Amino acid sequence: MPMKHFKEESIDKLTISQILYTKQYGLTVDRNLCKGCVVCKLVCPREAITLVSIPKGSSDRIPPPSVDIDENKCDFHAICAVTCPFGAIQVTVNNEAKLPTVEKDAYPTLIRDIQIDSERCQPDCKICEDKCPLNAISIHFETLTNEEKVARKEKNLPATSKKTVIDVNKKICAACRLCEAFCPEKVIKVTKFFDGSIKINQKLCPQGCHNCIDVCPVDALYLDNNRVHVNDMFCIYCGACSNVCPKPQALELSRTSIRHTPIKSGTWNKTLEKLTSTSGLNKELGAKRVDKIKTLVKSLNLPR
Amino acid sequence: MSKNKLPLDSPKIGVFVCQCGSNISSVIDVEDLTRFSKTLPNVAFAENMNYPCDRNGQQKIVEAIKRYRLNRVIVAGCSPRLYEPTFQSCISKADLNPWLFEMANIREAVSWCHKDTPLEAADKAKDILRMAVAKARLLEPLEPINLSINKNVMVIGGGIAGINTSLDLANMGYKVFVVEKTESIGGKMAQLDKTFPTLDCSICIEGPKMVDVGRHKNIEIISFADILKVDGNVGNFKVTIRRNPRYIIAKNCTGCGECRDACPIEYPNTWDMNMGVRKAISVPFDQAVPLVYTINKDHCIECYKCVDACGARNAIDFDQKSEEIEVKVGAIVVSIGYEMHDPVDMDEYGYGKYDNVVTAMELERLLLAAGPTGGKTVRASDGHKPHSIAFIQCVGSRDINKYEYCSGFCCMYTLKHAVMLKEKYKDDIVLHVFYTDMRSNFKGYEEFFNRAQKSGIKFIRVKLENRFITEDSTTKNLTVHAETEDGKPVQQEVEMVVLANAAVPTSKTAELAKMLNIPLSKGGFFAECQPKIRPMDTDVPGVFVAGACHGLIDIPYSVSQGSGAAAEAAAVLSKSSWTIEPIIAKVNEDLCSGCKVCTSVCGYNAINIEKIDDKEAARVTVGLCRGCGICGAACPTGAITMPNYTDKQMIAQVRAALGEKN
Ligand SMILES: Cc1cc2nc3c(=O)[nH]c(=O)nc-3n(C[C@H](O)[C@H](O)[C@H](O)COP(=O)(O)OP(=O)(O)OC[C@H]3O[C@@H](n4cnc5c(N)ncnc54)[C@H](O)[C@@H]3O)c2cc1C
Ligand code: SF4
Ligand code: SF4
Ligand code: SF4
Ligand code: SF4
Repeated sequence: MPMKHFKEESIDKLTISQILYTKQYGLTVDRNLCKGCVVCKLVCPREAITLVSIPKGSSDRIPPPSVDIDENKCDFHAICAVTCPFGAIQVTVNNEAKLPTVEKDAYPTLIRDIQIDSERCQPDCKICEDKCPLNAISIHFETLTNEEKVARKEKNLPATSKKTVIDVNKKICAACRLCEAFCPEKVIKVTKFFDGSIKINQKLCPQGCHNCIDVCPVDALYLDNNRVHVNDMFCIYCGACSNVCPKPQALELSRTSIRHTPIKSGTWNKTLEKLTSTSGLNKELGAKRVDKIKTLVKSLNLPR
Repeated sequence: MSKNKLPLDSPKIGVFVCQCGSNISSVIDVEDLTRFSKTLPNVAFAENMNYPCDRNGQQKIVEAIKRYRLNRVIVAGCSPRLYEPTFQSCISKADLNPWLFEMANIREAVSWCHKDTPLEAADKAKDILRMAVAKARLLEPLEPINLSINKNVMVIGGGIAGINTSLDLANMGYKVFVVEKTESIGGKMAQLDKTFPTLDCSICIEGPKMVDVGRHKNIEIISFADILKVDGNVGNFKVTIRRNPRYIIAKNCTGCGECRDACPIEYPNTWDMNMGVRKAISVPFDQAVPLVYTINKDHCIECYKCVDACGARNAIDFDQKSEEIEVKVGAIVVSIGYEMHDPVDMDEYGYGKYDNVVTAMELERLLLAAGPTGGKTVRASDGHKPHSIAFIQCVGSRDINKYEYCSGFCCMYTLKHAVMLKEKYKDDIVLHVFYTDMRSNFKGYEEFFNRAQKSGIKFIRVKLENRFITEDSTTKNLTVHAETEDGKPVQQEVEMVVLANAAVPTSKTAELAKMLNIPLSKGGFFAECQPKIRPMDTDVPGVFVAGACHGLIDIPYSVSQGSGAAAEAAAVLSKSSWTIEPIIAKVNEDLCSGCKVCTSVCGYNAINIEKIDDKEAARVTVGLCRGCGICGAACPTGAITMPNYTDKQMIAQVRAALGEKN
């Protein structure tokens, strides 16, 4: 049997696979999770991913672009899967989920940092679940045990009969801070993994176009007085908007840093080069260099 | 060197007419022809004899030269291809320059082809003789040309044939350069599990030889390299080679494999027929020689994990560039082997379409303990061991629409595979071999066929035509459809099918043949100079072929050819110089206008325009020119002549042919 490459497409997903006699590799893009930011395209070392623009059609809203992956180029090392802000990609080896580059410490994972002190949640509140644009939060309530009631009392927390259990799907949480912003008790603290800046150049932005607003996965853009504005607090700098903006330079977006697990990897340096502005890149590489010198000096055991 | 002691200005020609037993004399009246010779200008002596070529005849010629002070000799007999060298050395015994000899072919050209018309034959013989005399009058003495011999030798292709050539030559004391296209020497034999008919482990017997090549002080392996250009000629070849970057500093790499373990990237391993994978930094197989790792930059993500793993050994160099090198050698042995035809284009066998149809080389990798399945023969569709297998022979071979030739080793390797599977799985497996003719004609092979038949393997003799395979889409079982010799259809359902697909010339064969100036034979393999009596020689002196690259042969035969080619090459290398006939193109630089017509017609790249004393003129590369004369004929200014084939000599012959008196 010769080596085989397959591609299957449906509205809900794109699946590609490489079938060898003894091993099967698969990659799935969940079309419902994919927001068309093409971060994956930028980081793929094999240049296997392309952006597919979807025409507006008769609807008033432009759909977000989507991606296509060349099954003959893909090496299934999951670099795209690890970097996708929305967790839309999954790689499998012999039908088991795998992140080969992460396992070999050749690539970091994004830090999706969301801290919730649910003990302080208002009874029966589900605002964060409602507000999460990516459906990453699910909430249910459990009756408190006696011990828990006592514990609450000791901590001086208001008495209640039910506790709130919040499940955050860390695979798909894009850390946009909407939940944090709407939480009435301020129990949520989110730190973004991409930092950067976004600017609408009002002189160049044509009136009446709201493509960027249509595709923004986290409601970071809004219309005011027929003009597009940015809510910097929520923007996760994914770049989906800039892919649909018809006017060059009307929308300026740059990433300055990425929060990730510690890593020493040439591939990650390439990712930084591709995803962040030069200042961001220099910052991280510079920090690494300083670290290197520090450890070197330490290892030399020089007299003070 | 023979000295010409006889005056040459006034030709005194001796004519010796051969009776050749009855070969000539039964058709031509040799007495009459002898009398006729004497009437021709400058003929001082003529006689006929039974066999001028035998010792007696040669003695008579020598005596006649001396007695009659002859200074040109003509033998009217067979083709010069056969005995010209004999007579040339014969006349040099009488101190006559060997190129003052001419042969008139009255056997192949007259008595053999005109035996039913003796009268006309006699006339033709006279015409030929008259032409020979016309030319002989103008013959000039020439001196042989001696070329120096570089004592190094190159072997192109490090399969089992090339390995044997290299070891033999290195042991004789010659410096050998082995140029191998892939990362390791070993060739197909290193991919095999066991070898017929003895069933010994292939790598166990080849591995030590590979290591010997790697360690031999007289051998340098240039692996992962491509031949770009071959210049020069016997004794003095200059080969330009591109060493492709491995991104590894060979002398620092210890072959430990720690980088491979650190590397996150896998890609299909062609060595494993793409059935398994290898890392972006790896060796194709553990016994590779040289044991130097290679980074495949197509797949590498440049994470530099390998660099960390390699550490102080510092063997990894991402900036390594390809490198062009020039190697000078006296002789070249080509042993680039063969490739397998990809049967995807033969729809009837379902390869590529049905999961459980595999090729023989794929089965070889499945049988191998170090193979992608760890030696388990399993189906691709479900990973289970098949309970029945059909082998289809001659897939693409012996097919006039595809490859007319027989691939040579498929019958035997199928027997090998079948015997191995039967002896391993006994009653748990049923094997069917669909064959047309079983070719088992070397030592121990027929006995091996008997062993296979006795072991319970089923042999079904079918026609080569009308064979096809269908698949049950739920069980993924296959049905072989064929026709027996008397036209009865046969059908057999099995769980797996193995195709004995055709072996074909490597994709580089034609390109390399062009660089080396050697022709290809039908089928696209290298052509040997004479398949029976000079099976390893090519048309180019100093270039030899060995192994499966000039016809599909098995391992024992490739090994003997490897050694044979080594002996042939040594016969060149051991000479102090190489003598060639002085009949090669000569350029009169004053007449040459540098128009390059000659360079465009020469089939051997032997003539080039060069700057000679401020003037562009043609220059002939002595060792390459074959003296075909095409440049001389094409040259518009008449600047090129062929010694002893000058215009004057040729026109004199034409005049003689037309019966003109001189
Ligand atoms: C499935 C199968 C099973 C077999 N089993 C057996 C068996 O059991 N017993 C047996 O006797 N025979 C067997 N054979 C036949 C055997 O493979 C050949 O007889 C043998 O490999 C021929 O050796 P070789 O050195 O001529 O060619 P190869 O083994 O093909 O080696 C040629 C070498 O040249 C290199 N090369 C190719 N092109 C170039 C180039 N342009 N420049 C530089 N290098 C180049 C190749 O990489 C290779 O290393 C089998 C064949 C097959 C297909
Ligand atoms: S990175 Fe962006 S474009 Fe790529 S799969 Fe994820 S969401 Fe879609
Ligand atoms: S506004 Fe921010 S979050 Fe929204 S699409 Fe643009 S970059 Fe992404
Ligand atoms: S740099 Fe390339 S070869 Fe080295 S470990 Fe990373 S992927 Fe593998
Ligand atoms: S005689 Fe033939 S081989 Fe010699 S230079 Fe002329 S064309 Fe070339």
